[in-house]
Formats: sequence, structure tokens, C-alpha cells
Amino acid sequence: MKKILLVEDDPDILESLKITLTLKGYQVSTLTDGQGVCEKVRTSRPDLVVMDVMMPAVDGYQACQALKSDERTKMVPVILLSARTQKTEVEMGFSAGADRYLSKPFMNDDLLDTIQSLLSKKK
Amino acid sequence: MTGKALSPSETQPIHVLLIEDNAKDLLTLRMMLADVKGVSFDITVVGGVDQGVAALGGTNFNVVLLSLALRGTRGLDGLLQIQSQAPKVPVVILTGLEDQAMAFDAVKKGAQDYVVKGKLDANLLTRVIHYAIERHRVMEEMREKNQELERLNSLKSEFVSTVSHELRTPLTVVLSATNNLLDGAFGALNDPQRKWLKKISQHSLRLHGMISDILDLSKLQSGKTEMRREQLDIGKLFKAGLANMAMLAKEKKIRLTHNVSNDLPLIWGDSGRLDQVLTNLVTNAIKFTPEEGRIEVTVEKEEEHIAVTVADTGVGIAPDQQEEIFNRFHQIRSQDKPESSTQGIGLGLAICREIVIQHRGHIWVESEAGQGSRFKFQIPIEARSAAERPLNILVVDDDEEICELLTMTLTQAGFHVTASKNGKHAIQVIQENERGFDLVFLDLMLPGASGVEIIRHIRRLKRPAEIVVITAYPNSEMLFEGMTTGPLTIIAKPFNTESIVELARKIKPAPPAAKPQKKAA
Repeated sequence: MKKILLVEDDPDILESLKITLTLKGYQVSTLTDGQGVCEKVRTSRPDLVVMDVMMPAVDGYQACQALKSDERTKMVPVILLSARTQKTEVEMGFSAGADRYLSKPFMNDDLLDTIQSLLSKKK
Repeated sequence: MTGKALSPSETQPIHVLLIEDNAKDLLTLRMMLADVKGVSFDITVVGGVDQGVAALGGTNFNVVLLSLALRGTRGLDGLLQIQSQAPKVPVVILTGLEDQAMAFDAVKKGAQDYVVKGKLDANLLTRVIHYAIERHRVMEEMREKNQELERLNSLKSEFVSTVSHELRTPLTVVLSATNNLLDGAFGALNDPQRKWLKKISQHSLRLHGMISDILDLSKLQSGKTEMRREQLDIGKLFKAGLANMAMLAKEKKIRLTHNVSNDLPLIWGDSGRLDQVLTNLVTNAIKFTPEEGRIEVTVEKEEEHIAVTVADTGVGIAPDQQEEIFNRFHQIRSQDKPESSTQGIGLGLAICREIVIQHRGHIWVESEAGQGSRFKFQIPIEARSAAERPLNILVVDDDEEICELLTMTLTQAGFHVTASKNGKHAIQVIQENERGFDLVFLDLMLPGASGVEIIRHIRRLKRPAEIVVITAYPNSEMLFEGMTTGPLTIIAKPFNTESIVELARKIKPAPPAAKPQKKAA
């Protein structure tokens, strides 16, 4: 079973996405802030991270950058989710090393397809 | 800044600063103003511009009467000095018969009016003074209102952008939860449950589309969206776009055909944006065309344009609505299909118009109610010369930080930038640059050679660059000297980098063989 780390500060989005992913057979662990993402990825070794951009303490860009600059975690694909869709914000996501940037709101299938394509690429 | 303009009431005297060093003229003017019934003038006389500037620093005047023939003052220098000291006080130029041309120049530089000294009487002078004061006041008000409007407009754009983000978050929950329910996360659904959840999902998506459109239009109208510039085969682009919409048309049994000329010239534009225009027009056509109808898309060359027509056999648009539909949130009313009236076309056409305008084109509709509509837009083919190569820009400023900031900003915006921190070096760079510069950002106070020398040098070139002076002293004499050889665009320090990029975008690189283009300052 593939493991996904879901990082999102909005409790309703977090719960709903957890349901979506669990339903598709992923094993989901969650965090509500970017803080601690690196440690969590090192210890629980997820296959993929789905992370919101706008979070209170450590935002998605920072957490993603931290993951991608650490040899131990940089291979884990990261999908950033954001309600901010301006070009500059998407670019910021990619320069932080994100593998995909998904604008909110999205259809469940969009997210699931994105996850699938990243996981199959990894193999 | 001192020298605030007063608005005189009828009972109060009008405070006049008279700058004149000719004793005879002075006497005539004084007598003239003493003569006027019903208005009293409080006149302060000084014999030169420097004293005038000093007087403006201490007292509030309603108007300045400035002689152009002062000893020791060259041309319009006096006017510029007065204006920079007291920009809010109107200036009336006193001139002799022989220098009316210069007086007219003074008016172009912001003097309110000029009078010829030999042809003056009390009534005329009084009227000129009154009009100058009033006109200046109205202009000031307009300027202030404009500033306020600009501020409000940018606040509005910011607001729209924030609101759009805020709306997306709850919508994310709605869509995600609805999708989960439809996917059976909480058990099987019966038919009405499934039907209504699908409706929730559909309408959430519609809402999402509208939020995106609002944000998109707001960005387009604020000028913050950049059109990509790529060389396009618009025929090929649109054929692909139409293939994607064939399904949608088929669902309504509409025959969607296209007629794309061969050998269309390539144009420069943003493929994504132009495709958005076509998609929008065709989607609308499908929406407003009854089943079994026809839609034909034509792409052809019309003189210097590529013309695209989307013709349908739909409900048509009454003449009085043909302009309005390009406005925000306009809805096409249709008598025979009341349910379609609830499906506003929303912002789609407003967005289309904005995109077409930013490609320097036009969009319009030809239609008679009941006879179908022909939406048409044209994109100029010449637009390609505008982007065949990036603008070649020279930045000249001895301030290292400004130089770097400008270079970085403009390079990021896709321009080709050369920088120089020394006047002499800059002239050498201009001489040696093979491509020729299209645009020069220039500081006036430079080591090596002054900005004015550089301006003169540029103006002598076969293909003179556009010149933008960046100065902390927008009213300086030096600036005026620079203007004597042609119009300059001026940006005052401190400036914001966005306005710099915006300005550069407005300038077209002239093809080497073409005649130099002069832009009004």
C-alpha cells in the first residue's frame, strides 16, 4: 500500500481529502502545518507528499524547499495545493522544487490522476 | 512645497505676483489693474525669477504674471523655475509681439495663458487672470481626482484578487466532499441523491469558473497580465481548438465547420489567450444555437489583419445589445428560450474583448435578432514586428543600486538590457552597439558626460532611441535643456519598477530600415 503524507491547515479540506485518498487505497498520514514535515518524511517515509501552500507557521513553499534540499527526502514527490493561482505563485511553487502545482478547487480525479502519474514515474 | 493657490472670493483681493523688470511695462500694468472696477488686486512686484521664487516661498499668491523678457533669464527657464517652486499657482505669461511663439511654447509647458503686452487693456487682463485662476483650479481638481481614481482602481484589483482566493477555499471543501459522496465514500446513493449531488458538483464548477473569470478580467483590465509573444499559425491553432469543441457541438446536434485559409501569415500573440477567445465564442455560439443548427468558423487574411468569424444560426442579438454584450455580466435575453436567459454569458465576452484589445485588435458582433450572429475579431499582422526581437534597452545611471534594479527588472521582463554608470561610457556604448537601442533610461546627473549630452547624441542618430529620463528633479533646468531637441518621457524618482516595465512594453522596436518613430512625451 502506497503511503501519502497530507499537509493541510484547513480541517475540512484535510478530512475530505483524507477520505478521498483512503477510498482509493492509500495509507494517509496527516499534518496541519509545514513545521515538522521534514522530520515526518524522514521517519515515516511516505511515497508522496500532498501539501497546501498557505499554512500558518511554515508555509508549503518553505516546507517543500526544505524537503528538496535534504538528500534523504528529495526523492519524495511533492504536490502543492493552493487557492492562489497567479503565475508568480505557481512559479514560486516550482522554484521551491514542487513536482506538481494544483489549483484549488479541483476535482478528486485531478488529484488522483496527478498522484498516480507521479507514483508511476517514480518506479 | 509652498505657494499654495488661493481661491479668491469676490470680496477678497486677488494676490498677484508680477515678475517684470521693464519699468515702463510695470507702470502700465499697475495702472491697468488699479483701474478695474469691482475687483481689487494686491500686487507684489519683483524684478527677476529668483526673487519671484523667493516670494512664492513665503506668500500665497493666486496668480503669477511672468514676463518672458527678463534680463538674465533664458527662454522658458523662468517659467520652469516658478513652476517647480509653486506648481499649484497658475502662471500667465507676459510677452512682447516678437516672442509670441515662445509664449505659445510656455502654454504647452503648463502656463495657463499668455498676453501680448502692447495689446492689453484692463478688462482683458482681468479676464485672463480670472480664467487662469479658475482653469488652473479645475485642472488641479481633475488631477487629484484622477490620482484618487487610480488609487481606488488598484485597491479594487487587489480586493478582487483577495476575494477570489478566499472563495476558492470553501469551494474546495464543497467539491471534494461532493466528489467523495458521489464516489460512494459513505455508501451507495439512490437516484435523486446522485442527481442532486451531481448538480452540486456542476454548479460548484460553474461558480469556480466565474471566480476565475472575475479574477482573470480584473487582472486583464489592470494591465497586470502579460500576453506571451510567440509566433503563431493561428489557423492551425484554431483547427486544433475546434476539434476539442466538436464533442460539445455534437451533443446538441450542431454542425460545427471551419473554413481556414491556406497560407495565412504567422502572427505574434499569446496562443493560450487567443485560443481562449475562440473557445469562448464557439461555446457561446453552441449555447445560443438551437439543435440542428450550424456554426461556421472562418479564419482569413483581410488586408493587414487576420480576421476570425464565428457565425451561428442561433437566436441572434438585437442591435441595441450588440455593444452591451461585451460588458461585464451582460445576459443575452431570448424570448423563445426563457431558460437560456438564466445562463448569463457572464464575463466571457468582456474577457475576449480585453484579450483582443491587448493584441491590438478589435472584436464586434454583426447580427439581426432571429437571424443568427457573426462574432468577428481581427488581429493585426504587423504586430509581429513588435516582438520579433526583444527590445534593446540601455540603462544609464551612476547610482549602482538603481542601475542594478533596472537591469534586473527589465531583464526579467524579457528585454535585452545593457547598463552604463558613466556618461562618456554610455555614449561609447551607444556608438558601438550594432543593433541600436530602442529605449534608453537615463539619469541626467552623470560623471563623464551629462545626460543632456547623451540626449543630443542619441537624437543625432539615424534611428534615435526613445528616451526616458529618470530624475529626482522633474522640474530642473537641465531637463528642460534636454527637451529642446525633442520630446522626452520623464519618470520621477522614486519610481516603482512596474511602471518602468509597463513603459518599456509600450515601445515598439523599430525595424532597422524603418523611419524613426517619435513618441510624444
